[in-house]
Amino acid sequence: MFPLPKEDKKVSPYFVFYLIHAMQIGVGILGFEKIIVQSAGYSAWIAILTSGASIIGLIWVSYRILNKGNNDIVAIHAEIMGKWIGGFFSFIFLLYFFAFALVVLRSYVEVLQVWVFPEVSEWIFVLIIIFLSYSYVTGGFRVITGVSYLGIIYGLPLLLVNFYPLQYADYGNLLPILSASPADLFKASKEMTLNFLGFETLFMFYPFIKDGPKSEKWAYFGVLFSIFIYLFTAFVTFVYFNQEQLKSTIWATLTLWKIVDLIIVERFEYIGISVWFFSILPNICIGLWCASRGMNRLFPISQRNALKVFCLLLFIISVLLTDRQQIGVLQNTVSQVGLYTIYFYLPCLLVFQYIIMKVKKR
Amino acid sequence: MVQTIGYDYVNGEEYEGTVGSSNIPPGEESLPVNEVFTAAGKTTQRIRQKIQAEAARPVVVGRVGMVIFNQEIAEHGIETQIDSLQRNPSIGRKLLLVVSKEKAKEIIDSEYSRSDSVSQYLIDVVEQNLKETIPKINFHRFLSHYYSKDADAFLPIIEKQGKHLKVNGLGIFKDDKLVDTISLGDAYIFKILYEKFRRGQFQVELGGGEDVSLENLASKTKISVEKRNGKYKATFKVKVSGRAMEGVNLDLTDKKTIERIEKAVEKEITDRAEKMVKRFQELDVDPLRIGEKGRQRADFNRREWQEQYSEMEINIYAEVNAVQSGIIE
Repeated sequence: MFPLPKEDKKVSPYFVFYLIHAMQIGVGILGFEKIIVQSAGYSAWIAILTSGASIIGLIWVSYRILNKGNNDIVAIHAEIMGKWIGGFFSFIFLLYFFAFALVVLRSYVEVLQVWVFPEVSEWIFVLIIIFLSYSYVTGGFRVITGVSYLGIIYGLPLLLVNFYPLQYADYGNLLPILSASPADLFKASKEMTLNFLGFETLFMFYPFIKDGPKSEKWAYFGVLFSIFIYLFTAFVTFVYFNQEQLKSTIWATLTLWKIVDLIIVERFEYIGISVWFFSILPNICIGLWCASRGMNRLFPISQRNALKVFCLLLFIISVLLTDRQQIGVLQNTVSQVGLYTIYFYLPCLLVFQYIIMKVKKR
Repeated sequence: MVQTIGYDYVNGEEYEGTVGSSNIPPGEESLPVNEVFTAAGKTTQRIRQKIQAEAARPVVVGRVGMVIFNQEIAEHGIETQIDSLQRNPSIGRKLLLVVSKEKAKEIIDSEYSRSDSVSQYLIDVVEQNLKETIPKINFHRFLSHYYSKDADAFLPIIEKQGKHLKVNGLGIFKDDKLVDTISLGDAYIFKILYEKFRRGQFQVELGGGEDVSLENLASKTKISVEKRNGKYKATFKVKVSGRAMEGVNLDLTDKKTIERIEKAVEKEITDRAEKMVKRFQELDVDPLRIGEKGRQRADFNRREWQEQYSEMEINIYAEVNAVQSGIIE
């Protein structure tokens, strides 16, 4: 009922590193510092470690489910919950993947509008980005993997730029090391988890990996690398900004770039934001790919047609969301759904799958 | 393209904004022409509109290098202006903020001895001083002091003297209001206490009319805060090293003379620093970020600190290391 993809459509296990990492580093990194600092002050870096560790645990859970089911989430759902209930849950997953792409796209366009092109209306950017994503997604999963790989390669040099703000560093900012209560740290960890979301797409693309179980260690490396990137960025912003100053800065990472002065560019953010597009693109592509692939698995509709529908929806909703509040609501809803999915639904699914499999065997 | 912005006080509600830009007319070897526009209003946006109304080309805030606050407006508070500057995405963080004794308009709209653009001249003068005579402060640093709950901000003070611009000390802020100014000499002591730097120079008078200067000065200061029985105490440990030069009637090869110089410099630094810190305490301002050091302690209590700050014990110790130099003996 749910056939596995052909061998020539698959990618090598180590590409999971890029796929997972690319999904985790998205628009969040441009301004996550403020949010975690509001909860836990400058001890918030601990929250990055704790939430990162919990994600590693969840990747472990995901691989247990996937290795056993040896297919994507749609097939696993159908196997353990039947066609209708399983299909319903799969459908929710699809909507979530779609909403994920939507949030990333809309947040990025907001950044573009505020920082670079205040006079251009958003639908132009939305249209261009959707068109680009459409052409990549129709290229198939291998192309998307390539996009994620390039996204990371292009994005990495931006890390070097962080050495400029370090000239103004005040390392004393980090002291005292533990100034937040465990409750505050827990809150910050929860908020930090939102930035690690995106690895759930693994549930859709797992069958596309040659020798799936072997890719597990690469998934861990991907998460570890994300933790490192977040930690490093947070470290630089913490020593650069005064705590109160950071709390009033929406896009701390972008504001950080304002101190960079190269001879040829006065405003480095322009370059930073443009380069960052390559990191955003895989998020949108993978999100759309997962959503359309799921549609194709659930309903008698070709993936291409499903993709067209999703692109249209993406365009309409993105243009309809006009102000900061609406975008904020969207971001919160999606991240809350994501949070509950990974922390409650996934472990439940693991247990449920285990029981059903046992029962079926008998 | 706006290069300098100036703000002047009009009355409680309105203020005056001046923008200066330089324009290079077409043609070979043409010199930049200064263009200055002024308008008054209640908000920056209103001022911008008014300025735009009289300018021939669009007024774009792009490469602003310096913002000048007139002393009067600084005393009344500059929160509105700071807020609009930091909100604007095209304002960089290396921007220089200064307080001027004259009206900001006067500073921007005048001729200076150097032929290149006025804006560039103003920026160069201040930047030079930030390196050698006053602590390094740009928009980013200002903001981090301004926002900090445990420190207060400061800005350089500029003054026009004939065809020159002069940096003339530091203005000390409490929240967004200018409350005190310190002289250029004290600003130097401030720099020694505030940041690590090299390539400074320092002059002292030894008893008996002898003068000596320390060159190639390198200084480093450590601030430590202690808390004993609920009482805070701060200590500055200043380490300065430099080469003794230009001693009139002094034998700089003599070890005793060097020791005398060291003692004199130590005394000069501690005396002036103590006086300055006392004055900050009386005014209840903390531009030297002693509070930030206090905050770094795990047992920091902000309310206690603020209650104690103006009376707490602050000690300054200086250790000077001079070597004789010059190329002759």
